[in-house]
Amino acid sequence: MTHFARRLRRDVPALAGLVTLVLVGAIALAAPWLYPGDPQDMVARPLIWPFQDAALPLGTDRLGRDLAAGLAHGARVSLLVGFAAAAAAVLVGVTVGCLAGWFGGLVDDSLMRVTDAVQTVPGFVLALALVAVMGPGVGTVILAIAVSSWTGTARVVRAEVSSWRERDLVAACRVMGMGSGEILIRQILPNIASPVIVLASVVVAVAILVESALSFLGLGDPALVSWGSMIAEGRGLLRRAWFVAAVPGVAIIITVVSVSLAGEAVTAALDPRDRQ
Amino acid sequence: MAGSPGTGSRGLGSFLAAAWPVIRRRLLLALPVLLLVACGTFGLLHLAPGDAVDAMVIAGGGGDAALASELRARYGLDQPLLVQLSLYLLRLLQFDFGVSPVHNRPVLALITERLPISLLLMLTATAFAVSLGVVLGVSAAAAAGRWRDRLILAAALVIYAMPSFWVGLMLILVFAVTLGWLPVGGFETAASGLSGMARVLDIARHLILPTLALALLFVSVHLRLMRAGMLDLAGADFVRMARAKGVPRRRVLWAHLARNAVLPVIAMVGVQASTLLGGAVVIESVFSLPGLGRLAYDSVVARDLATLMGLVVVSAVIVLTVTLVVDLVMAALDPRVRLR
Amino acid sequence: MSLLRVSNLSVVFTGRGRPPLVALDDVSLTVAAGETLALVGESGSGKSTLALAIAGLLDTAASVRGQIDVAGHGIVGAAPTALQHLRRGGIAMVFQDPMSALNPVHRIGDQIAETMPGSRAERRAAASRLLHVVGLPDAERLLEAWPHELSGGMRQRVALAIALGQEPRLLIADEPTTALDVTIQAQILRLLADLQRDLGLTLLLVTHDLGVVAELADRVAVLYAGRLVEVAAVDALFSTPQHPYTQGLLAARPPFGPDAPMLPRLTEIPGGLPSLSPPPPGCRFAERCARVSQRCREDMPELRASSAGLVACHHPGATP
Repeated sequence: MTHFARRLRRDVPALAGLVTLVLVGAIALAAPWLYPGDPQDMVARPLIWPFQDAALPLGTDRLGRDLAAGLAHGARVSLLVGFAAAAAAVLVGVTVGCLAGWFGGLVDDSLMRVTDAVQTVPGFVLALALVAVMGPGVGTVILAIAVSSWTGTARVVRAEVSSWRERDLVAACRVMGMGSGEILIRQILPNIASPVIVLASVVVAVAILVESALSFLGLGDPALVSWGSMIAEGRGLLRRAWFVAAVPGVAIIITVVSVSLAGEAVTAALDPRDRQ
Repeated sequence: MAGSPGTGSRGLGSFLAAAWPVIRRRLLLALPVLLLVACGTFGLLHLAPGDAVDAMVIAGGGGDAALASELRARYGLDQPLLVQLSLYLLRLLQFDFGVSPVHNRPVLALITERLPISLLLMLTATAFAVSLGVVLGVSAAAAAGRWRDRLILAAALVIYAMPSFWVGLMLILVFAVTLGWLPVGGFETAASGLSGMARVLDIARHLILPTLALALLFVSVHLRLMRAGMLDLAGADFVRMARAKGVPRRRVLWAHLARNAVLPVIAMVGVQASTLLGGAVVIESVFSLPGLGRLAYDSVVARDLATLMGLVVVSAVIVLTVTLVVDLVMAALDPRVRLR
Repeated sequence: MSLLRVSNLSVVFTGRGRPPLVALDDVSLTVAAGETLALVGESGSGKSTLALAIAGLLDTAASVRGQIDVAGHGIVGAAPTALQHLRRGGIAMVFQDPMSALNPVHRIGDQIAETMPGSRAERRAAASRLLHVVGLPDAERLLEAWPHELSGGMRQRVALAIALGQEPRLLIADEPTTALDVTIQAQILRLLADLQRDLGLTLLLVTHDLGVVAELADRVAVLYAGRLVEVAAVDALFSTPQHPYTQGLLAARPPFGPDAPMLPRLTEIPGGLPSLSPPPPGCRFAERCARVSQRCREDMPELRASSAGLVACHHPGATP
């Protein structure tokens, strides 16, 4: 951990990314206390521009709702969906990759054809289909994103596992009487953590973006404020009050950039080649 | 392989013959993929509460149970699941995606009407994304480590983080609403009576902003790949060789370095074919383009599952076609690919 | 009349966040027109850097001091257009790895003809002639071929054809046979020797293979850790090497010929190259030398005339 800290101090962008991400997370967690009450409630006159009113630093939308409150509550949805979908996708991806890479043969072939098929259907179209079948909601969105984003992880893990399977380490473990599961989980997985974490940070970033697109189209959870739905609110106001659409977009950009930078930071910290 | 040099004579026919292994491999991979996608859509249709007949009957405005069971028998919906699946697959083989209860028209017709617009948008966006990615990547690599490089890389990071629909809105804000240079949306000026070149230009004007918004989704990846490729190859002997034989600097950079570094970028276009189509769906709704995206969106809102599942299958076919085309482009650009 | 004159050449590589690396330090040598000079040294000795510097191919990370003259034209600090001028009728170069020396996406014919003057047909005819010159029959087919369709030996011949297409006076060959099979090596060496004789080329041959040196070179320059340690005619160098490093190199060579023992005793030079960022103050070979004295560690020996040629050593002479 001290090594990680030392590395971070030298890498300013990565540090900035990590700090920003923690900050966004803190705002999301603290939203109910920072902005108690429903962010969908009208608090002031509509369309106050940002920086006009100290109590409403980011202004209000068409219905007089506090944009800052919306952002804080929207962060909850974005981060929840982003991290939950990524966690599910990585879990599925690692499992499929391990099975395909370890067993090879028919298991590998069939799992990889399924992976091909999922990769061939555009994730967003698949998400639309799932929303249509299951109805909108946070759970649907998480599932829809997870279903279409595990394939990259599965491919990488499969390649790594099948290359590890051939190495001496595994033969040695077998001689020592370890079973397949034990070798996979205790010996191989720790060795491929680094590429998986890189992919995970990409999946989180993509998940946040896809969630925003779904809720922009009005296919997210209708009960919750999300950055995408806030942008949709501003869509009709471009002429009169463009900030309503612009502000949540900036929030998305800041969050996704900091996720990418934090991902790079973790990757660099885990890279054994650079470790003294 | 080394025994028969000079096999690469010029001409389309001999190129296709040489690229045949690539095509065959791609087609063989496509079959199980399409089968699985079809099974997937079948499963989703069955997961959904109610079936196609319910949708039709409701759309017809009545709850006639006798009519419903008659329809079920006609469509084989009273058969065991496996029989239904085979019937479904058989219908797909004949490009029969069923009838949309919302539009009351064959799904295939709905899709083929809107397909050209989506394909055009995908084509223009890909062309623009690759060109911009190549130029920025070369420019960054040529200044590696200096401020121009850092600036381009920082821009790539931010561009990657921008939601494409938001970029679309901001482009509309600047170029359509504020400056008034370009139209807010649509595919062409309605009822303008334009024809020939004037119509082409009108469509082009409508496509500029959607193309930009969709292309930005890919520019970051392309430029990073291009930059990395350029830096990898900069020390290669063939680059030194080119300089040693007196090839001018700019030509070394483009005809030798960039010409090789662009290959992974082209390959990436194939990998991202499905992201491209997914992105087009979102961008089309932002710019009210009457393409597949618009159809998909309307179908979700109307819960028109027949059309949606047709779209899923057609999307897979489009993506597979794009990957095949990219394979062929790769084979044309990289002689080493053909004999693999 | 010397065609190539290198005077007091130093090359320092500077990289971000790394100490500068002195790749070449005060190197001077001349090569007469029509002569073959072999540049010998182990990897890391700076021989490839010297070859690239002479060819004007060092990248911008290298800071170069001193002079290089090829046929009266200065290379160091020359404008790109001036260098461009020397690429025709001046300097040409072939590289170590023929697998990577040809651009994989351009046809052989296009690569040979790329910088030739004249019409398309003239260039094609010239390229076809060159393929015959480097011993590749069936030129018409080869012109249309891609690099990956050729074997390593064929590719090195094509690389030679490209170099010859520049009608050079000085040909620099950087380890031209190292990456090839032994049987192919001999063919390429014979081709180089023939071309050198027939075309009156001046040849700068970079190699670590003393067998190649004995076969082709008129004179030999030995480079160690960025400095020339000995320059001598090839016979003198092999019979009476003056520098302890040269002696070590020759002793480490497996004996060859009818009297060679079946299992020869190979002597190796203990130790490795010193760090060159920064280099040690005295003789760079001091730490590996059996004859080292206090003076060697403090005072850098300069190249001086010896019985056989030039040597940079405080204690030169035959092996004790």
